[in-house]
Amino acid sequence: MTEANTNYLDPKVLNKVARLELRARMVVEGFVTGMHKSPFRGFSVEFAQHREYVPGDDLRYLDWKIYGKSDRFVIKQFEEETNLRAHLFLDQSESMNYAHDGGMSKFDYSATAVASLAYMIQQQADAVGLTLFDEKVCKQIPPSNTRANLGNIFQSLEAAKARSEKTKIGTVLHELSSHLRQRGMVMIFSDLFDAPEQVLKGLREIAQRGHDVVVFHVLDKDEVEFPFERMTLFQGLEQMPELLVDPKSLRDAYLAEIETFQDAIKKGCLQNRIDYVRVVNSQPLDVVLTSYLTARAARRKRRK
Amino acid sequence: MQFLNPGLAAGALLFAVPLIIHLLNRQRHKRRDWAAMEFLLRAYQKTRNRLRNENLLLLLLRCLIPIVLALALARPVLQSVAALIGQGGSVHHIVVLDQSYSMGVQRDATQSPSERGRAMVARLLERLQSSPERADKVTLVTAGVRPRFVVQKELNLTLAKALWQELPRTEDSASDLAPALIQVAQALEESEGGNVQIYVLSDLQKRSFGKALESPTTATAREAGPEFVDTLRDTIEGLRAREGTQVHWIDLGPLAEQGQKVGGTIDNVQLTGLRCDQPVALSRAPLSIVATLKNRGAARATTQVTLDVDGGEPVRKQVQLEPGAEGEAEFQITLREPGRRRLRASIEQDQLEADDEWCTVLDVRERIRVLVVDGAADDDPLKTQGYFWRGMLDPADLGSRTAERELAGELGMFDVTVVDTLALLSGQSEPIDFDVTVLADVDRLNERASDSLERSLRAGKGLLVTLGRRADASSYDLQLHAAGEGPMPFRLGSVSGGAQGSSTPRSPSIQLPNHQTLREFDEEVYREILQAIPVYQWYTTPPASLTDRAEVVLRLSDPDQSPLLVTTTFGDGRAAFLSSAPGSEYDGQRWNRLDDPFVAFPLLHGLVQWLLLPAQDAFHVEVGAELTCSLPARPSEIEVLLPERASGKKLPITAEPRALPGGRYALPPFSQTTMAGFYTVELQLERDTGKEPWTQSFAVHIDPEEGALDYAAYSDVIQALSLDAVLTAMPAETEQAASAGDDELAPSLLLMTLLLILGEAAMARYVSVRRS
Repeated sequence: MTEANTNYLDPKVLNKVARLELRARMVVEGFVTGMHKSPFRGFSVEFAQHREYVPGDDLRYLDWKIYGKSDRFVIKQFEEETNLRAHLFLDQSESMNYAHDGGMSKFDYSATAVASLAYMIQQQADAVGLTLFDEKVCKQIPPSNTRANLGNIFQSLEAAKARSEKTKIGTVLHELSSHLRQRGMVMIFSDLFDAPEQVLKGLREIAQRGHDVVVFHVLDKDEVEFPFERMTLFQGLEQMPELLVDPKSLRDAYLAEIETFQDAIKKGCLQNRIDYVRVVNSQPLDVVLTSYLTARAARRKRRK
Repeated sequence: MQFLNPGLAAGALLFAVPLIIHLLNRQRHKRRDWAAMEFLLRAYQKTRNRLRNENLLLLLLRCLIPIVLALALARPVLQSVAALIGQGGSVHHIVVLDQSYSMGVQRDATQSPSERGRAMVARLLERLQSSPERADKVTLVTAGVRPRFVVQKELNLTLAKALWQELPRTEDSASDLAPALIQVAQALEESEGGNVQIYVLSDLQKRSFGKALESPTTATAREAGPEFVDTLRDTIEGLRAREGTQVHWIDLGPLAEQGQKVGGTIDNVQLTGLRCDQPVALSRAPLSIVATLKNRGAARATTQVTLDVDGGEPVRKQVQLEPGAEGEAEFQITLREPGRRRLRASIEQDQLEADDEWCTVLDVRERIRVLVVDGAADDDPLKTQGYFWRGMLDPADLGSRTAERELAGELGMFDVTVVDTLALLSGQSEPIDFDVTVLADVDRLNERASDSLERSLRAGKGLLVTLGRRADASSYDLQLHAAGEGPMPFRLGSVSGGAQGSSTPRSPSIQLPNHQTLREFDEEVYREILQAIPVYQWYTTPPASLTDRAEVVLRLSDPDQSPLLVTTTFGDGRAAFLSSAPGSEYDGQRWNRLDDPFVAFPLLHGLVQWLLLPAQDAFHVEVGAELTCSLPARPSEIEVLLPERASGKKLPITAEPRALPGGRYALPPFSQTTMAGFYTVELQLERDTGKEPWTQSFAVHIDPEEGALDYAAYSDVIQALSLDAVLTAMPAETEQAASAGDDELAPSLLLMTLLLILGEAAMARYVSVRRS
């Protein structure tokens, strides 16, 4: 990996992620296990544990040896290795360019997260692809588990930057859903600053094609806290008008608006069985990823 | 509505401060790119109206606070109060300030009534200045020595204020307010109608009201007539009757400060005079100088009287005075140098400074020079008038020589020169060179003699004419009576009576017992002796010929009551006429026995001493009187040096001197005698021989009665002058204090300011909490 390619691989993040390699691997497996059956049954199967037979269990997994010895019906359970196709979608619209004082922009934060996940997935020999978009698809790298592909992803991330374009995520997702033929995992990093209905419509279309969709809703710390005190001239990104206002006077109303927006997205995601992860760019990235992966693993266990 | 402190209303402009802060804050905003603009705009649209209303309300409160506070400090008053200083257009404010010296009473280092009054008027002018749109006029009058209009119907209040501030302190006058108010009334009569506010500022001293405070019954009885007229009361009534005119009487007196409205008195010890007990002051002769005092207080007073001559080493005397009593401090002094000497008596300064000093000018003479024109000079020396008069006036001179007596210090009061009639008629002896000229039974006069006698009289010299058997009545009538124009105020009739033993002698009868010529007859026994003296013959006087200026001091007991001693004044001099000339005891044909030593000495000495005094004392006048005198030549370069209490400056007199008969001139009158003290006139006399410097001091004194610090009760003043009230401050100020809660809006505005501040704080807190 070239030095340039490491820009979005925060050593700290990767270090933490690396220590969690085994768990991450299981998590990645879990992504698939929890969501769909493995298409490669019996391949690279490793025994995990036994459990009592319950009517309805597949008799193929009955451990006849134990039945012979103890006259009990026990089912063998196996760890399954998956063959994942992960699609990483990264919003590079102008709104992603916002950064609070002294912090990373939402785009940089998301790009780091994307790079980390891509690396981790590739490490697990799964295929990972990248799509950059704003009001349209700007760049697309098809999923592959080769190291060369990972290098392409890194290079693309390095070259990408937030553009002066508006977000039209609904349209873009609709467009992408038709291109994603093989089922896989779709992880979207965006602030989703579009009409919630359009966003949800696009997400729904992807999810309905059998993809496991995870939405990382990336917001800036300022956008969720609105901490401004002095009279401020807010200059809208993405061709929005400007507004001179006393921020204190608008804080409550603004926070209510953004909360409503988040709730709408979140509710829509839940209705469509889409994982919704709210990410604020002031949070440590490793914590965010770890928390999410841990939560997902726990959810998978509960489902088992 | 009117503002009492209008200047402070400008503070309302501070309302702009919150606005400016608001605008500056908008200018000093931060710029920030913002991604979630859609949500911000949506939030703004939802809250815009509420925020705008909140902000507007907050801004309004913040702008109102300085406005209301400034209005409160400017002290607005409602129209009802403002009406007192005039409403409905321009008002003519007339201020009459009592400037008499009682207004200078200063108690316990507080302001004197005069100072308080002047400050009040200054405040009134300031208030009027602050409302130039009203175009109010002011007339400022001081009631001092004479009413003085400082400004009259003046629209330029700045000028009026400047002139008012230049006004000198109280004058030493004892003024009545009536003349000033009469002049105000006259000025109002000449002007058109309109709203007029008259403010009379006085100390309510009883005497300043004249007779107004006396009940009409008492006054009428005292005046012994129904035509009792009170000028002050009538003037006030006239002013009050004038449409649109209000009269405000304001008490500035020392009792007003204590809120005492029932009148009362204040202690005051004053000097009431300074005199020389001797009728004629001679150098090197002991003089008795008497300062008179009066204690006008209710307690016994001890004071020290100081006397100085020409500012020299003072002498002091302690005097105790009972309440209400008069006292004297007598100083025995001897003055070595003749001339006009300046004597000043003073006492320790009390609450009223003006009457703690008294000045006098004393004319000190070497000796009294008497010219005796002897009408009987050709007679037996022992029978001559010269012998008689020399024996009467300077008996020691008969026996020894003057030079020897002078060396021995035995010179008498009189320096007698005896000449015969011819010396007078020929002009050899000039009466003007002597203090007194005695025509002792001179038979006749010529024109030259009468002229020189007239001239000497006009110059202030004395003339005594004794008429005896030698006198030619027709000559006297012609030369001295001169048809009433001459110094003799009567014509001579015929000789009446008869020689001793041939007819019934007549005796003198005193007509004017207090006349100064009889001052030596101060006891009854002497008067009886005088009235027992026989007079055998005399010149009768046609009663109709006696002029108004004749004073008959003695008459005879004959059926016609013939005048025996007649006195008069002529020019600056005095003249006396004895219609029966006294004569030497050796003269068997003398007309009377007035040569009796019991009578001759006191009568003739008194006569001569009275004659040498000027007819009118021009050098001792009361404050306010004009200074003038007759001068022997035309004066020029006249300057008057004012006393220290009147600034001590020199003022020139530019008026032309007036020519008097006899080649004399009158000093142009100087009327600015507003303060007591010495006024020294310096001038040049334009004589034939060139200019000759001439200096004369005039002593100006106060009227002691003004020192009676007896103040009237408000009720008496209200009743006497039919006033509505007596105030202790200008009407606006009085009303301000009395009805602060009713008409002045300042307290309400201050309360409103407080409420606005609380409201703003609450609103700001609410907004802050709501937005935090």
